[in-house]
Amino acid sequence: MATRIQFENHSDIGVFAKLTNSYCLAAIQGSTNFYSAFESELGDVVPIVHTSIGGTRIIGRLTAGNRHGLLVPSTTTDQELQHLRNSLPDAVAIQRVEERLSALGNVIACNDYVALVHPDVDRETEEIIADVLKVEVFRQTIANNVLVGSYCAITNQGGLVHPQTSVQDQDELSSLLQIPLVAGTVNRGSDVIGAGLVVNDWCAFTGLETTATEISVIEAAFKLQGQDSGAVIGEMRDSLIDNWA
Amino acid sequence: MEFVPGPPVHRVLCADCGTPITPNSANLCVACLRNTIDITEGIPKQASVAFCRNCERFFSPPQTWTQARPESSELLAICLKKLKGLNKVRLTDAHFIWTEPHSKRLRVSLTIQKENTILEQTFEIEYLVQHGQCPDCARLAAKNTWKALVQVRQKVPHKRTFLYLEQLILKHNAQKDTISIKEVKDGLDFFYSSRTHALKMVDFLNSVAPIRSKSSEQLLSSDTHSNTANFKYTYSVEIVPICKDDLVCIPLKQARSLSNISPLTVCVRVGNSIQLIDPQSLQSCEIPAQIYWRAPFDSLAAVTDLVEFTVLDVDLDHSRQKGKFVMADAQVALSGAFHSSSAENSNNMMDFESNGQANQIFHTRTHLGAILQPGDTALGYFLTNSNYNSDHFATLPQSRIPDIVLVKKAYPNRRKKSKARNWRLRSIAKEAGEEGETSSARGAIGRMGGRDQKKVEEDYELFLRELEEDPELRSAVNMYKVKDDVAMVTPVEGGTAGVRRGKGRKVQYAMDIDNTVASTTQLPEEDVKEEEPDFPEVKLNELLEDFDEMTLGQDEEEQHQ
Amino acid sequence: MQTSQHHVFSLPQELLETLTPRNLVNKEPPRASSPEPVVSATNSGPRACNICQGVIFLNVDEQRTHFRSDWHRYNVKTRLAGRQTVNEASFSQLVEGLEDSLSGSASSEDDDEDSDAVNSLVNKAKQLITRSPSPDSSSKNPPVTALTWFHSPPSTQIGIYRALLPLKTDPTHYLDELRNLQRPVTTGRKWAMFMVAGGHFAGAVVRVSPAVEDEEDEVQSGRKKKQKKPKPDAEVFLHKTFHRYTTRRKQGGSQSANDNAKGPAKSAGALLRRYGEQALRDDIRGLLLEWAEEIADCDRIWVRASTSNRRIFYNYEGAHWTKEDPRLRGFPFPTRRPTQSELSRCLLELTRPKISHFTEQELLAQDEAYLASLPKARPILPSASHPMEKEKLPKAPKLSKDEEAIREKWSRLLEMVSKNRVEALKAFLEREGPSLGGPDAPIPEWTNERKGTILQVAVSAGNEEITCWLLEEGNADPTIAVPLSKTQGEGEHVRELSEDDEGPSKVSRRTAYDLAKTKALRDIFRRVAAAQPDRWDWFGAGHVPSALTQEMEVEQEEKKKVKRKGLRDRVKEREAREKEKEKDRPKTPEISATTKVTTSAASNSNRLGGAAGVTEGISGLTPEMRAKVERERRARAAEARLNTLGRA
Repeated sequence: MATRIQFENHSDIGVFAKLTNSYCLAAIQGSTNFYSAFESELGDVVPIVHTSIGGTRIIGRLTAGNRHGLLVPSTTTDQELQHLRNSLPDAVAIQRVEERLSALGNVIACNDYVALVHPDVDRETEEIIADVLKVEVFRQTIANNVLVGSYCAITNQGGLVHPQTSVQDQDELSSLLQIPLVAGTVNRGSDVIGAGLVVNDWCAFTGLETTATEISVIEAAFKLQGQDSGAVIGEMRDSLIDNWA
Repeated sequence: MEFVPGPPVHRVLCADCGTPITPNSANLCVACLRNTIDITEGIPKQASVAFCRNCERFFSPPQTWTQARPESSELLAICLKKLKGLNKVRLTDAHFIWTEPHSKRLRVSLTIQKENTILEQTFEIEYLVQHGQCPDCARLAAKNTWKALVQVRQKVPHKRTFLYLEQLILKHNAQKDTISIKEVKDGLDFFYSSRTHALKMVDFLNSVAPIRSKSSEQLLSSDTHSNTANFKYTYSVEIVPICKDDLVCIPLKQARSLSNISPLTVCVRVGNSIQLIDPQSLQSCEIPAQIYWRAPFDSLAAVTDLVEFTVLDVDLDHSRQKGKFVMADAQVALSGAFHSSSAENSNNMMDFESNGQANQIFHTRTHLGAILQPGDTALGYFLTNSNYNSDHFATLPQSRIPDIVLVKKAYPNRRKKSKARNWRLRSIAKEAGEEGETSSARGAIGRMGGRDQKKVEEDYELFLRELEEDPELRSAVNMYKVKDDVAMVTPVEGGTAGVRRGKGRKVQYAMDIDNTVASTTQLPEEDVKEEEPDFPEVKLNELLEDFDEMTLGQDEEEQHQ
Repeated sequence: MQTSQHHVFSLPQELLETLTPRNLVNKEPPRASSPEPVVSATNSGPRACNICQGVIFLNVDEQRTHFRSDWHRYNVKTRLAGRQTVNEASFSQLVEGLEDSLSGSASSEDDDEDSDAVNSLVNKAKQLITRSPSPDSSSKNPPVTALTWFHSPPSTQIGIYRALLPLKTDPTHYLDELRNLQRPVTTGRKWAMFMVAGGHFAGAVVRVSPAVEDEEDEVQSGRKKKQKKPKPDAEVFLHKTFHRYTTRRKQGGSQSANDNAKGPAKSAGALLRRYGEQALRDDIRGLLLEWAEEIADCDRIWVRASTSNRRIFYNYEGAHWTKEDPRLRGFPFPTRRPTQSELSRCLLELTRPKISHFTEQELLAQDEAYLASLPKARPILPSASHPMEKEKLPKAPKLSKDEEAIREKWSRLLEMVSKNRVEALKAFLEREGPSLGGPDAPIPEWTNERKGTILQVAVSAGNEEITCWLLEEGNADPTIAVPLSKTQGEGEHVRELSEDDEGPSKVSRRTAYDLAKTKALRDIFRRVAAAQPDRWDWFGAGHVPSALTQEMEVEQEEKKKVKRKGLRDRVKEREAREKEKEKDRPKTPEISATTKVTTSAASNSNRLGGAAGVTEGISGLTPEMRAKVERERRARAAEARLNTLGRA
């Protein structure tokens, strides 16, 4: 199921939230709308943590993580780190990374098994990523963009990549990551997938501007439809009618 | 046949409608893009164009007013120029939609493209035609709204100075800001819409003529709150009343200060100072305007007082020459002294006194040694025969006063031919809208007919002759070639000069003036005489090619009338 | 490359004797040269790497290993930088080269692994790319550089600025001119140097080689002119600098340029600058007048000025020299603000020859690398993967003289063959044949010709006359195999294989006969085979199916005539079938013309594709199109035949 939400009128919710299979981070906000949206979907499954990173709210872009761990940039304060430690399950390893490319969310795209990283990250960072997130790390580009975290979103089920990614590249990446990949957009044609979409293995949140078509693509790519495909089709038809009638 | 799948084509779904498309920057299909994006954004849908009802021209920003017929491409260009955002899109088509002329609306249909010609849109723009007045028309309409006035005066009985001044003004384009020009007694009034223009004119005059100027202002209104006031400015400019070839008697005291020059001098040049020469000694002096106006003096005799003499003998004194002047002793007699006496006697001329002098031979010293030959005709002042009402002249010792002062060489035989001139002059354009055609169409000077039409014509002819005879003077004015076809036409009627002039000014004929000094010596046997060989012809290369179009047009109009 | 201590006008005699002009670019060994770009799309599948030129993997593990390899990472980075990716072999070469060059200094970085090799490789490449275009990077086809290099065995090269030599010197005379420079001049050589920029002016008249009187003893001792120690080799006679305010502060550009562009400015500063420009010009011209005598006996005048400023120096009234003055030179290197010290720097730069030390092997390698890079249309590659030593040598141009001659001959030869100029070819081969290695000489690689011998070239171009001549008189060997595609064959020519392995090779190897597209061409082979059956192994290695004797031809002609008579009424159907079987082809001129057209098209496609012989030009068409073409062809054949019948 994909849910449309927005953060203070922004549709780029991927900037302000981070969602993995074992936890969710949400930026601190005046109202709790954003938080509540997550709460209603995930409330009883994974912990949702209100936090800032380095005093900023763009936590989605600054952090990278999966079921096994969470990487935070060097700008993270001790207090924030402590807060995260206290809030996250013990099984999740938290590591602060000294990396020149400090927007880890932009330079790392990962699921629970593999990670794509910016070609220029340090060798040490690469090792930390492999150790903490327990993934295989590949330095790659997406559609000739180095910001792999911004231009793709991957889970254990599938992935959505930048719309300009060529068919060859998709094939290659898909065989490398061993998940199906789809080229698509979010937020009504935006190609910054990472900013418009937070997703884990069973649910997804997209920006409010995301159209029904895009949601159907997303749900197909991440295999989020329910078991009953008829129900999904009905739902999709409903939403199509909503949008166009 | 086995099925060969084509190469995989990279497609994404359109974000809105879900059609597979090749990814573009918006990731929307063309149809959705067209639905959602208005490429005419930023282009105003209404605009206005200014139109001058008087001259029926449209304002094409930033400066010009252009004549444009309705639904013409010129008008379309003006309309499109009005639209701001058009440079961001590609304009593929534009045309007018018909509107009633009196609706004061223009409707233009535009087709524009954007985003690499994916999107195309057609829309209409409505222009409001705002009636107004262009600056040219405003200037004409507001005839009396001058802010500054330059009154140029010269207290002499002729207009030649002004005719010359007109040419100078034309040559330097100094009349460009002038609203209107009016002829008054002894001079001209130039009207301006701003004070600076008037000051510019005064400065110009100051640079070309010996003048003095006085300014005065008249308060129109004042605002005590903002401490501003509205004035009309008047600049009174007086030109020295001494012209070229005038005989001048300088006050004795002043003559002493001018390196003790002999008081009786001839004016040889008037620039922004007066240049005088003593023909007896070739001593010359230059009086700048400001010195002159400290103690003004008048001329003793002017061109109209010149008498024609025949040079009998010239004895050059090469040791004494100055510039183009060479001192010479000349023997002259009154023209016609020898051949006309019998005829005159038979006519029972009663002028015994002049008769008595007619055969007399005078000796005089002259500065014209370089150009005078025995047998030539020269113009000079006949002092013995004249009575001047001047204190300065009276104080001169009688023994020092020459009988005759020769001033310039004359070409009476050549003048008789009444040849068409191969050049002509421009004049300051007539004031537009002035009702009725004045007889001469001479422009500013003499336009009102003066007080004496004939006199104006005479002055003009004299001025033209002066130009012909004086290359130095010619260099200061623009002269134009007469078009050949026009020049070939010879006047059918031998009527008066005024009539000929009325026919149009295309050809300026040398005319004979009945009342001038030249004609006093008209002789029956003039035809047998040869022309003076050294007659100063105007050379073709001094002439400018094209006459100003506008004045030509006006001339043609006049001819039609 | 460093600056030598020698003076360009007084090189040691022993060095001078050994100098030979370098006629190839001084270049690094071909470590950098990577293979031709390969379009990767063809063999990419899911188990492939698109970046690394379409490498294919058997399983995921292999793929993942590859994606973690340095080679892949290097390629990712180079592609991001918009450069050409390299294959594995050249990558390993690159890395080795890096280790070599780092070995001296990088001992502290030994613990860093290859990853840094990738980074430093990438950085290196970047550095080379971002470097300003120095004279060496402008490798035009006949490379002309500011420096001319001379080689002195064993391993010394000397580079001098070409501008020192007289204008329009032929490259072959460079050495003579260099020797001329050493000749002492009685009054010493004088140079005038002027620089003007931004309102600064610096000028000097310098004696660059000492006058003879000064050193009679040395002149007597020999031609070699060595400097006395205390004696400076350059002596400044006159010098002058001055400055005027001409340049617009903080905006740059001269006032006149601004005036020209935007209309005259009215500011006080503009007036000052205008005056300054005027005054500067007057000052300089005054100075030139003052120095006129000295300048007159200078043998070089070096001027550095912008195009507009250049007019200060010549082409004005009373100028002392014109633009065409043979003494006039620009500085062949970038100069800084005109000052006295800059003048002396430039003087040193001009008069000190450059020295580099390459062994002959290295030079040879460079030459080859340069040659290899020549035929490529746009030499982006060499620059992309430039060698990494900081003090890179500017390439001096030059092929060796005879090399050049041979190249020229080959290209002429190939042109003659392909353009079917028999007479010229005959004469040429008679004259030059031996030097090129006879008619069977393998065509060198650089010509980009896919065929192995000129015979093959002639056949593939469809030039019957030349083929005929080559086979009959030229003694060209028809059994030489056509080289396989150059990428695999490395341009080496597979000579005739022995008899026993002919079976397998028959499939792959093709000879000149196989290249023939027309029957006429093939008949030539068969005819010659019949005429001279023992000269070559025509029917085995030559692939000629059978000989064609005069009698056979006549017989065939007869047969045809008989057939025609019998089948006059059903001509059409018959011809169609005949055509299909290609039993006998019409010999009418129109038809041979059409076949010629198709063959040339076919040969083109062949050359482009480089694949095995396609006999018809319609191979790339869809079945429908093919059918259409075929029908057209048949119709025309029938028409032609009818015509001949009508005549008969």
